[in-house]
This record gives sequence, structure tokens and C-alpha cells, in this order.
Amino acid sequence: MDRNQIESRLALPWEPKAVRRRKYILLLEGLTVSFDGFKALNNLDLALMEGELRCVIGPNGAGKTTMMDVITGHTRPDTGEAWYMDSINLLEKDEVFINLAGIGRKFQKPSVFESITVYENLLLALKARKSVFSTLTAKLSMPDRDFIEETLALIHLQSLKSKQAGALSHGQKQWLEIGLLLVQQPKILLLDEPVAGLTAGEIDRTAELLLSLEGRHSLIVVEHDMTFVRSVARKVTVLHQGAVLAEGDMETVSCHPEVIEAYLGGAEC
Amino acid sequence: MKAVDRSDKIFTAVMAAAALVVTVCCLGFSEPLISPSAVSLLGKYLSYAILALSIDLVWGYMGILSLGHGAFFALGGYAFGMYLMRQIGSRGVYGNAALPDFMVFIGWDRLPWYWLGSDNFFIALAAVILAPGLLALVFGWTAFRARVSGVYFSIMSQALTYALMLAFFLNSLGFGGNNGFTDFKSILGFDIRAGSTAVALFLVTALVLYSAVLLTRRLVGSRLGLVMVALRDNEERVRFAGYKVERVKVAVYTFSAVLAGLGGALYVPQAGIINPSLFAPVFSIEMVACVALGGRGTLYGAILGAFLVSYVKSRLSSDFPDLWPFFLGALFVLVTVFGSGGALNLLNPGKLCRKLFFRRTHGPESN
Repeated sequence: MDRNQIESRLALPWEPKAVRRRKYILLLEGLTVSFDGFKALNNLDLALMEGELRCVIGPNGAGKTTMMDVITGHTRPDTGEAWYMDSINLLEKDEVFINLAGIGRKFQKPSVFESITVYENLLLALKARKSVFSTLTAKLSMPDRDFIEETLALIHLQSLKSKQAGALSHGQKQWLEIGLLLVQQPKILLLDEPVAGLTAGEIDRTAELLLSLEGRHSLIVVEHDMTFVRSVARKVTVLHQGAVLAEGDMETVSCHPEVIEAYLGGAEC
Repeated sequence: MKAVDRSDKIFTAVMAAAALVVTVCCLGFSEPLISPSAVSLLGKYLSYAILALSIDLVWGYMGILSLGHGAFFALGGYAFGMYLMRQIGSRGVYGNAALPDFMVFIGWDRLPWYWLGSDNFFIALAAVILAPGLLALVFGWTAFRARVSGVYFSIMSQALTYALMLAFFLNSLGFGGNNGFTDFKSILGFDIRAGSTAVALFLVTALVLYSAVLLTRRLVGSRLGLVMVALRDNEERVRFAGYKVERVKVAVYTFSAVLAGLGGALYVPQAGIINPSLFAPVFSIEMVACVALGGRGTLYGAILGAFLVSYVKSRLSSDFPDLWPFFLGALFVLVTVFGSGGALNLLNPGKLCRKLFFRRTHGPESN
């Protein structure tokens, strides 16, 4: 397949904005973010369907983390649009609103609450009214308790639930952070390098976990580990220098000559 | 959880025993075993303990190091001191029933508007809560919303209390200048120098401290308490868990300031004086040292630390006034060696030995 074929496949037919917004749960259009003249994002487009598991790959500095920063309200872009669920303009909202609206994020560096237990970590993140007063008076209901136990089983931390989170291994912290997202019952999960530093066995379990989430949640997974990406990816987006270089299934993008040049370093096809 | 329940029981027992012993020893004998002035001194320590508790709540649990909490303590104290000044009435040196002595002295002929109603006990009580509460609300909201944290917040809080100290030194502010308020005669109609009044004030202070401990224990045991500890660990993650971090901080900070103000209000009648020295940053820092010495993030440690430091301070500064600064210095060294465990470690010899003889091999990772 040559380059023109891929590009024609990439190009979306023109349609009114309102129609496009309704089709996707998350729609990024023309995002540009510059830091002191360096363009971390350069006219980035991305459209995510409901229930889709999307892998985003790209070399360091390609803009993967910046893209997540924009989606979660952490960074404001210079130009462009970001729409969530048809009508929510993400660029007008703050981190807390976006989080409560159903976008959860796992950071690149595993960040859990180290000085409280695994169980308390989940309890804290649990979907609930989160104003100061309702947090003060919050009581744990039976369904919530069951839900936390279910999540603990899902992330393989059931036997460690009374352990202080700071004492977990690196891989367990990664899982706990995914658990923190799951108990918030988000519509979209943004996972920044969920298998970085994990053992092969742990990577397999994580892949299994993410595949089981597909359909119930929409996922964007940023990862460097190509074996892992191969095992979970349906559709892969390749970022390079802040823009989309290629998009498609794993075989298509890994045969893309520019992708090979920019990232994969040849011999992948 | 068992150890937690046990410490609650010990605390309840200690407080009840103290109340009983003080009451009986001061009032039960024709020749009191504990003099009324000693009772007032103990009551003063209790009011310091309330301040230390309020500092531990924001520092020990949320990791916000306030070096200006004395300001809230002093504001509560001044608010209640106004009431005590009005109680003097015509018994002052100038015999002016309407004006406190210092206003007559600087030639004022009537009360400024902010003194209106200060002769009413309940209005004074409201002022005790509102003055520190509102200041904390405005200051906290401004600082936390601008995401000022860490050492920058500490410096700002110190600047706040220093600015207030300079302001309260001014005679024209109408709070007695550098002499402050003193020479109180009565409280709610009772003679302030009577032994029974001293005991009653001590008991009220003990009760307020006890209720404050129960309240803060419930607060840190609630889900909000988890959020507080979590934002000490990783503020950004808390935000991405859907909590409005600024509001949590402001709410707890304001609650803590009101607590400190109550402590100040109880301090004034027992100390018999309030002046701008309570606004001095040194006072606030000493109270922080109390919390560190007692063990931050434990609540009981703060109370223990406040008692220990105030007791040693009053002994040293009366018997060997030159030694006090050296002791304070040694205190900081001790705190550094013992780390965050504080004096509560002394109750746990095994842990103490480990701390003394082994290097810490692991600790909470900082983000």
C-alpha cells in the first residue's frame, strides 16, 4: 500500500461541524499549543468514537502528553477546538469540571496517594458528590462497597487493599492508578504510558484489563511499548512533531514510510 | 484502629482527671493546694493547646505550613478582650463608664463604631468567631485560588501576622496600642480574680479543647480527612479525582482559624492581658515548633507538644531567662532528629531507638 492510498483513507469526507460533533465522543480539531515558540501541538486533529480503544504512539516530544493536558483542561491551546459529548466545549472548562463530566486521566509517572491505603485510595476517587460538605458527611453505601471490591479484583490488588499505597511495587501503583480512574466511572480514560516499567507478565495482564474495558469506556492509550500496542490496538494514531502523521490499524501505520522513518526505525513491516 | 480508640480513651481520662483534680485542689480546701494563679497558668496552656491543634490540622494533615496562625489566635483574643474592657466600666483609672482607659488617655470622647455592641457577651462571642474566620476566608481564598503553596504560603502567612502586629501597635487603631488590653475586673459579672472564676475558666477551656479534639478527630476520620491527606501527597491527582482543591483548603483553613480564635478568646481572661506581641511571627513559629515536637499529623501530639514547650518555657524564662533561646534551638535539633514522629515517639521506645541508631532507608517519595 503506498502513501497516497493511506492518505486517501485518512481524509474524512466533509460534513457540517454539528454532525461531526454528534458522531464522536471526543473531537479535537486544529489544536495548536506553543511553548516559547516551540509547537508542542501543531494543528492536531483527533476523533474518538464511543467505546473505542485508541492507541497513540509517537517519539518523545511528539505532543502526546500535551494532547492529554489540553483534553483535561490543564493546558489551554492557542487555537483549535475540543468537543466532548457533542455539546461540552472542553476549552472553556477547568480540570475538576472535565473530570466530573467523565474524563479520567492516568499520569505518565504513576501518581497515587502514597500515605493512605489502597482501599482508601479507591474510596477517595469513587464517583460521588464531591463538594466539601458532602465529602465531609459521605457514607459508604453497599453498592459502592461492592463496586470498590469488584474494581480491586479487576486490578489484582484485592489482597493488598489494607496496604499503604506508597509500599506498592511500581506495577501495582500503575494498576492502582487505573483503578482510581475506574471507580470514577468515566466515559473516557486517558492512559499515559500504562505499562512503562512493568514486567512482561504484568504487561499481559494490563493488556487483558484494557481489552475488557473496551466498549464500556472509550480509551486513549499513549504507549511506547510496541508489543503491547500490537496486542491491544484496533486503531493507532501516530503523532509526530505535534501533528497526526498516520492513522489506521497497526499494519497500515507500521508500513507507512514516514512512520518508519520517524519512529519505528525500519524493519517493522 | 484499636490504638486510635485507645488514645481517645486515654485523652478522655486525662482531661476528666485534670478537671477533677484542679477543681478539688483549688476549691475543696480552705488552704488551696493549687493556687488560682496556677490554675490560670494551666488554663493558658490549654488555650495554647487549642492553637497547636488548629495548626496541626492544616500542617499535619494538609501539609500547609502556616507560620502566622498566631494572628487568628490574637484576633479571637482581641475580640473577647474588647468585651472584658467594657466590663471594667467605671472601675477604670479614669472612672469613665463608657470609655476604656486607653481611649480616655489618647483623648477620644466616644467609642469608635467597631466597638459598638462589644459590651454584649454574645456579640463578643460572635466577633470571636467571625474576626478570625473572615480573615482566614479572605486570605485563604486569595492565596489558594492563586495556587500559592509550600514555602511561599508560609512566607505570606508570616507577612500577614507581621502586618497585623504593626497595625495593632498603632494607638489610632483603637485597640490600646502596644499596651493592648489589661487590668480586667470581671467576666459575666463574676470577679475575674476569684479562685472559683479561675477554675470555671479552666474548665471551660478544657471543655472547648476536648470538643475541638472530638470534632477534628471526626473531621480527619471522614472522607474529607482522606482528601486532606491526599492533597498533602499529591495535589494535582486530587484535582483529577474531581475535588475542588481550593475549596477544601479554604474550608479547613477557615475552620482551623476559628478554632485558633476560640483558643485566643480563652487565653485572654486567664492571662489577664493581650497585646500585639501575640501577632509576632516568633509566637506563631514557637507554636509550630510545639506541633513538630509533639508529632505532626497526630492531633494528640500537638497538645502534648504545646504543654511540654509552654511548661518548660515558663520554668526556664522565670528561673534561667538566658537559657530559653538555647533550649528553643535544641528543640529544633531534636525535632529534626526525630522527624515527623515527634514526642509521641518517646512513648514508643523501639521506634525511638531505630530512629536514633539507624538511617532512614525509605520514606515517602516526594513528587
